[in-house]
Amino acid sequence: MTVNSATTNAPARVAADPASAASKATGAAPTATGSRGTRILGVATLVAGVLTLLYAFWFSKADVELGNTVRILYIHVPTISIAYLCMITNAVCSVIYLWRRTEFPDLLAAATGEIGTVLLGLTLITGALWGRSTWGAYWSWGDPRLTSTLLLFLLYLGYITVRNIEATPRARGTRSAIIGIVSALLIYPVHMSTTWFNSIHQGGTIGAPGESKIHGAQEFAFYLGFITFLLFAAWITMHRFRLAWLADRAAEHDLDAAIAERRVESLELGEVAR
Amino acid sequence: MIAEVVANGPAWAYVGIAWAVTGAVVGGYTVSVLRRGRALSKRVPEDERRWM
Repeated sequence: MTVNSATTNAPARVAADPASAASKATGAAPTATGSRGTRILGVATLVAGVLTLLYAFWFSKADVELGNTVRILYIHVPTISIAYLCMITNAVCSVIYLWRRTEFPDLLAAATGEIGTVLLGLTLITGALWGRSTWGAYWSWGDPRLTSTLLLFLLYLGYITVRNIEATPRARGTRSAIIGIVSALLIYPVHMSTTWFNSIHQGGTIGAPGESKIHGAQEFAFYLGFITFLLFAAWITMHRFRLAWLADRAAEHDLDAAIAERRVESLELGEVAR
Repeated sequence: MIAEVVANGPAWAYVGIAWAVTGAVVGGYTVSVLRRGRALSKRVPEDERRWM
């Protein structure tokens, strides 16, 4: 997924090792976060997205009970599932970071935390639209599924905020890892809220093939939605991870440059004093 | 399909908004990540941006 020096903890100072630098300088360096792997994944995401659109609007018919609003659920259900997956990955990476203190899990946690938040935001928006067209209301504060999902979303917004507070990489990683782990504890209660409490939100619709409450093209459209958002999450996670890596490297270089500048200034002042 | 859209206007409006918002959010976030990556790449030496 990444980078040279096998994503070490310490800043990669490859330039200080000419032999290493020369061995790596066999091809042109990428000018962005893309690579062959991301391009393949990107094309696969696009193909899956087009197929999802076709099945959502062409092959899948209106539902007997839900009518055409079932087409909103082809986004709503996959986004929450993949958001959960991102958040669980975030929590696992956070635990590994607190244990090993290496850069890779910290940056992967940052990437998956942010992507999970984006997908969860989409879940809330599409859910509100579906609720308005089905229940007649965008939101119900008394509903445990809706309010707990909003709380989860706010927790991850907090995670992103804490990650953006200026601090040393270790302090930033530690704080955000703790918030990531604590936030993930809410995932299971959110998922089970329709079972544990009285909720207007319906329970699980999609299960393993053959176990779902829907069938045929509708079920297939759901699975295509899952595949599309899974591919998208994997693709954008690679880009977001590399972006986080570049941001840390750029910050280190800015710091190095500032220190070098101060050294020159102090040397010049010393010369003047003499 | 067009006749169906006209007959079920409100439901289709919510469906359309949901898909449009999703496309806009996914597209906007993607563009933001890719553009920031391109901008940051210029500030980092070549040998520190080698992706596997």
